Amino acid sequence: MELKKRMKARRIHLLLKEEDQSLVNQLKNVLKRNHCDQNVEVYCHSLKECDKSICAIYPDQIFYENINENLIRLLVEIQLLKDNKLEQFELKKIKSELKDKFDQWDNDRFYYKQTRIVLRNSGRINPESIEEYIAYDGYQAIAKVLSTKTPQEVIDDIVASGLRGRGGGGFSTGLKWQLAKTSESKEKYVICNADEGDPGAFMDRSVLEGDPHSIIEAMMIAAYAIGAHHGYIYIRAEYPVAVERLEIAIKQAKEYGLLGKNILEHNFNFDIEIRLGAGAFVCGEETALIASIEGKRGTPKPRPPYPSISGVWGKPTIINNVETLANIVPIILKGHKWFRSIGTETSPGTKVFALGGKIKQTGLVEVGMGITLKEVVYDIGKGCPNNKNFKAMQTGGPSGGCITSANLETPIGFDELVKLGSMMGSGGMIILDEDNCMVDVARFYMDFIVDESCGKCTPCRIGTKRLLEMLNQITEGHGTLELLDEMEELANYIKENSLCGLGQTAANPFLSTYHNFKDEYIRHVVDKKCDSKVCKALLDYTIKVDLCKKCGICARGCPTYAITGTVGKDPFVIDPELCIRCGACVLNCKFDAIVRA
Amino acid sequence: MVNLETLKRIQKETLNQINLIDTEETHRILIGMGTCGKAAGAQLIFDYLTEMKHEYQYPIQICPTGCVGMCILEPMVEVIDRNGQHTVYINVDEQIMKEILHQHIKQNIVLDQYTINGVKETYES
Repeated sequence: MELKKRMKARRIHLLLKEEDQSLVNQLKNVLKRNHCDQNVEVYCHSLKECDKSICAIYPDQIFYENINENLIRLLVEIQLLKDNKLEQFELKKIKSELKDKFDQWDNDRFYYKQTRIVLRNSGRINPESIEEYIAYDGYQAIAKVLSTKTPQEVIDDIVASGLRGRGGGGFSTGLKWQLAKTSESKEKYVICNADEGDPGAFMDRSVLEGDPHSIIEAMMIAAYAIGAHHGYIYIRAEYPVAVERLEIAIKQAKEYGLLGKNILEHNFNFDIEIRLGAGAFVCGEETALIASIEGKRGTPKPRPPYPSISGVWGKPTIINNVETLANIVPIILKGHKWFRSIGTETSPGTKVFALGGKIKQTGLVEVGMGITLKEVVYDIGKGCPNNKNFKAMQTGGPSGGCITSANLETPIGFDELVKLGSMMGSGGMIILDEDNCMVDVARFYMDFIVDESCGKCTPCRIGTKRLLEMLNQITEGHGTLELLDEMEELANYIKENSLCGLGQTAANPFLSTYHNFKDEYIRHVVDKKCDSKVCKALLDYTIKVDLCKKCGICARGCPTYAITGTVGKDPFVIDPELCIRCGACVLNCKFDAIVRA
Repeated sequence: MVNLETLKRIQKETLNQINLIDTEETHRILIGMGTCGKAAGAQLIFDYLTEMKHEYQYPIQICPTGCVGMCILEPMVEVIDRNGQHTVYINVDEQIMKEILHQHIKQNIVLDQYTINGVKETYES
């Protein structure tokens, strides 16, 4: 590749009037036309009182006002590409408060469009120091609850906030607590579900590593609300850093008397125990998790009875996900009205997503519900790297599904994602681009599910295994149209007849990719071609005679001696029978003479 | 055993310490040490910093912290001074840390080329 131009990486912040909002897209188009959209990041902001449209260029700190279509074109062509100022349009004397605002926006641009509630302390405090947690209002919520609220008032607060479980299902947290409270029993339990098993998800781990005390405090509040005295944190042993920090946090809380007897001089006793899971995916399912805590084999039980009635040791138990619990303290401190003001009517609050896969800015983002998927992918994640096209987004882990580019305008919310045939899940968000083969993606998730199926019920144990074998057949080039019909029937059978939630969604990786990318499946079985060039068995390697320089480098690098020819005389050819499709020759060829199709 | 008053007292004291009010330390250094940070080599930087602080008595407060969400830029080091000025250094290694100690901590010179807001020259292909 030839290096044509050299230009500084720039950030453009736009503050636009109502009627100028369309300028954002125009700017993006102009950038694209001038091939500098990879070097320039565009951020759009709004202010309540805004009478002029202003454009700020960072890091140069140059401001322009009254921008319009023409000015935008000039800006890109002269300011950005040629590095010359447009003196006549420059805003020399910007109000200092406005400049501060722009500076702040530029500093906070990594949190652009984000709202941080769950991750409020992550990256700000030392998680191994209880004092630093206390410094940022830590343990104030439990103090407030113990001295001013009755258990019922706490539950009413949580119900009114509309908080829904962040672990996948989206059941109302307040109602769960209410059920456990009304169940009569001397002993009750609070469990924190930190068994995060979805491939590509690491939200819970980050919360536990960055802010373990907030989980402990939330569990105390939950225990007070339902009348429990004992709590468990079920966490997988694969998270050693999180386990270590939790242990330190619990020890510190005990030293301070925040766990134990007569907490904060009130008649309230509570203790927390850590239970390590061996990393089985099924133990994230609540009935299996309970069995695992009791020391039994982690297999699900049919519900009802729900854990809120009969959970650990047959006692009423509430099981909440880490992220759900991390929302409790802010709700208590700031009130349910504040929480309702964020997010949408049916899904209030925020959601943490682990952005991964083919995206420029991988990492953890926390966004208010109601933001569109497109904003998450393009504004926060900055789109796919290497100028590739976005193909699909996998959410909700193996139980979830794929969302195609056609549905990217959908606002994020529990019910909205279910409508698209996916689900919120715990929040893993894996971006796939044109180089990903959807059959292969389905095969990967199916492989995971076959490994993780607990084996208790037949549809899930045998059905998923057969489904995986059929997917393998397709990727190896033995698929037929009848096979696809058979697979759909089997998948629906698994869906209807499995015992637990994980089994019922076990066929989703296939079903969702099949529904959204039927063409790709058909191309695999009818034409025996993989357009993304992933399924090895469907690839053909050929040497273009006119481009071949007869140097023989490809033949020397071939592990199976599949390439023959004479150096300097005969062009080289690949024997498809011997070729194992490793692709070594393509990498070795300096003249791009070998094509993969 | 703590009660509400002790909680408030601890809060006030620790906030003073965090904000470097009446402390011996002049800078607070946050190191991203979640699993993502550690995988990128944050432990080496942490060990190096503690050693330096011990050996040369740098007036710094070293604070390991969790993930800020920009896993791709780890290891990240955030330097906060008494004026509350935050400077975030990205993809830090021992060599860069050494420079930060020499320039930023000792002489208060911000090393623009390593910060998150730094001017990066990019090439277009």
